[in-house]
Amino acid sequence: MHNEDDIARLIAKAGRRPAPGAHMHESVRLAVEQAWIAQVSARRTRRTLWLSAAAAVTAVAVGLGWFGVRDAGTGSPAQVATFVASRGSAHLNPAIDRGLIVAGSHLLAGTRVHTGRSGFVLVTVASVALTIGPDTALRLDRPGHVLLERGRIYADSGVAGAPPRSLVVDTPYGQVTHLGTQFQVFVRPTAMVVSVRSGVVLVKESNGRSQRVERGQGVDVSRGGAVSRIAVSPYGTGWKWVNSLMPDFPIDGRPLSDFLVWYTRETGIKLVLSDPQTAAAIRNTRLSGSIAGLTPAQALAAVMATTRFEYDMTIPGELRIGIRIPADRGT
Amino acid sequence: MHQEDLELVRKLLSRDDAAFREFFDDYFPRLFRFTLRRVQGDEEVARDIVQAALTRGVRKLDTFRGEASLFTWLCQITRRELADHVAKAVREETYMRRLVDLEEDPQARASLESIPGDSDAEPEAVRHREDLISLVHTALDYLPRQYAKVLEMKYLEDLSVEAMAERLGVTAIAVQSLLARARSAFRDVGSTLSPNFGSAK
Repeated sequence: MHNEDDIARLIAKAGRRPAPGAHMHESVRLAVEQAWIAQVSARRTRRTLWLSAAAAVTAVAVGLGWFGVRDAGTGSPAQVATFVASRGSAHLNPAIDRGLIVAGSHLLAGTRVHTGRSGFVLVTVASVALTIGPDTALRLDRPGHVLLERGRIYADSGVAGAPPRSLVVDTPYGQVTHLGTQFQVFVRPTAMVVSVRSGVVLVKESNGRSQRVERGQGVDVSRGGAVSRIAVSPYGTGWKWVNSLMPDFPIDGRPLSDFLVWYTRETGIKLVLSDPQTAAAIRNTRLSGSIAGLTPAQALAAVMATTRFEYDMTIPGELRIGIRIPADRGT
Repeated sequence: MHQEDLELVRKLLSRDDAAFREFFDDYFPRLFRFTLRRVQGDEEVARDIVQAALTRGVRKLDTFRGEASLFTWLCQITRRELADHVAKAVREETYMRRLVDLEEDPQARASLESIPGDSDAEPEAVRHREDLISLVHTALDYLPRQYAKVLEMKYLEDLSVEAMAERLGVTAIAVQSLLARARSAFRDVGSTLSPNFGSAK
């Protein structure tokens, strides 16, 4: 049994209890608070319905139409996506019945996303990073399903930090199922174009036929149902918009090789190392600082300037890296 | 019955914002520590598990009956999330196999090899000290919030009874009474957690 001195010594020796960082505290608080608000609101609605039997039938019908999918355990709308960032003109409705949407906010089934001419939204759905481009209307339909009514999206299953689950994109022209890849879907008034940068997607036309589309391929499905295969470059102007809003890539303390792998993934460009020494050296070069807010091209220039490597991009689609030869040894 | 916890839950169910702040600020750090000890100190994993547990908890608040404390109730939910986490890791064996395959890639292998491993040569004294710290922190987490707070104010911040009374908005006599109850509860919880707690130095 302790006396007071024992207790004093024990507590003083143990020191302060570790606490989660302020950023983590805040991001988890927001996520839990939204679940709490959604739950309390749903509970109030249920109570109101119970008290007013006559109004209940109408209210339930409206409620189901509005939220679409509900969590079987609680009756609340299911969480189907996580908000990461937005830029320019972007509108989400309804995400929750109150409060700001910030990074880490959970988005509920039925949430609609509209972007204007300069708008971008980045969310994760089923562990897939989904960039929603300008002039786009999309609904987060149910877990793993989005409905793309118009505009463009880019899906990348390699960046969200968890094994991807199935993501299905429904469109007026058919259904696109992601099988672990990077691809974009562009729905226009007259046609839909699916382009695959890496991996494979399955495009199911509205008549039930399926097309398997692989890296470097695309399909163009017209409103009349005509389907044509197209060749797709994994890099270049057709993909430039996807870099307008990207998940942050922290470089501090990481090897240059990690950054180069990220860069080539984001741009579709192939990495070519000049020799085995370069390959070893980029793995042993640690980076510091941050590239937050930079485009991949700006990030590449900023990062490489701090290293002893030089790069060359004169061959389209290739990034060549070599060890810089000091000027005094070149003469 | 845990009347204070039932009152907090009642306020939460009536959508009281102040109650939510009190609930979150109190329980998130405690559950985070509870989980951190069970996931080898991986903060990101602990964060995900606690977020899922608290989300599930707030959805089930109306099932809380006050038979156990709210912290114990939330710990039970967190344990289920931990179990789900482990089960998911097993289900994702294929995914793990992919990671193993990655080790065959020289570049990935170099990155993996750069991760520092646990030291096998950790001295016994260090391990003992860490166990003791963990035990004391766990005991404090299991105490009612006011008890842990008053013990830390007294023994970590070295505040006088008067200063504590001012901070808590109560009389000095009330603080002394609170401290006596807190010390007694700390002894009880510590002994429950570990039979050796009384002899820990």
